[in-house]
Amino acid sequence: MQGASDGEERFRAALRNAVSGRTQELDFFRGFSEVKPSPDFARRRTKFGKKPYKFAIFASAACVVLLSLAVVAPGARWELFFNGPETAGVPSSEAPAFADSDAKESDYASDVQNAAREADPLPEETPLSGSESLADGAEEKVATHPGSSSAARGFVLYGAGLLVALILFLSARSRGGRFHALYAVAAARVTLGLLAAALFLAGMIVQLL
Amino acid sequence: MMKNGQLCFETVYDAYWLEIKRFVYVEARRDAESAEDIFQNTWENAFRYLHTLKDVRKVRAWLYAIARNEAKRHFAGRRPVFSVQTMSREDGEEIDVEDETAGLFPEALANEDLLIGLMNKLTDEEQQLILLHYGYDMRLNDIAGMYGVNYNSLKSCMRRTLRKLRTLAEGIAE
Repeated sequence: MQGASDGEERFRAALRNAVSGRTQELDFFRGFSEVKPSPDFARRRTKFGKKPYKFAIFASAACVVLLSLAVVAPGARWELFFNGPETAGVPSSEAPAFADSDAKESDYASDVQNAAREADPLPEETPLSGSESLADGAEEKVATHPGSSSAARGFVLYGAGLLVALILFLSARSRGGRFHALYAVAAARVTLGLLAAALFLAGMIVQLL
Repeated sequence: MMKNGQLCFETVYDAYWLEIKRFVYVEARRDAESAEDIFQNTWENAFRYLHTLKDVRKVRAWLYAIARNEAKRHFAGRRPVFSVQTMSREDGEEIDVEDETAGLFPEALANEDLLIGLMNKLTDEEQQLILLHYGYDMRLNDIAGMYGVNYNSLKSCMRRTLRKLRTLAEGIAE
């Protein structure tokens, strides 16, 4: 540039060197970080940042709280939930072997089975007409058994936890859009991992009680 | 780089895309969407008219000219993104920056590392003005026209920014 002083030329050179030395940054100086487009212009900024992580953490916390409530719920009959419907009235001969052995270990379950046989005897030599009749019979027994409400509550709580996690995860993904696809995947892993851990711990606690 | 006597667009793009993107980003600092639009239009025009470029040695200057024109077109008729009022409190004074900058560049401003620290102390608009004028050799007239601000006000801003830089540099030197 004509008429430029030596000091100005040195200033220009220093400025160009300072800028060109920062090839990986669009915001050359701190002041430009206010609006910083992503390195790839095809990506667009969103105002949600890394919130999918927060959604995942919140969803996991909600699952843990729901499971805790289910564990400490008064009058919960977890053996019904974990051992299956045979403890609520289905004959042991028709129930799976592992479930039958588990049921025998429980006095409560055997009492339930005996009471069920007395109330509605089912000839052992008479095969069931089909899975439908078994399901109907089991459903009736579950509906009339005093512990069935606890089992249903457990199912509801588990389902609610899963539903909350699913809704929060999907909302995080849809809000984040393409830019946060990676965050959403990471959030899904965190959510599902914590959910599985919570389920495992809940099962352990119930088995120990 | 050459194909049948013509520049290959892909080669040109690979060579200059980052440089042009940074320049466009400085031009449209406050608006990332505008930067994206300007960048895209710049390369669209480059692709369309690359065959008209006669002197391949001037491809860099040619790309910069396209980017400047696209920015000017983009900001034409819009609300100025460059707010002179936040920088200038004495708009009445008219100073010819180019003629009166001899004493505004102390030795400290030639120090690259020191300069980065000093630039961090300027406002966004002051940084942008310095970068466009001294970093990318844009004339104040062009900057004023691009952002729709008064030329004399812009000169006052530049003068004030340089004074601020000098004061900061002298403070560090002491």
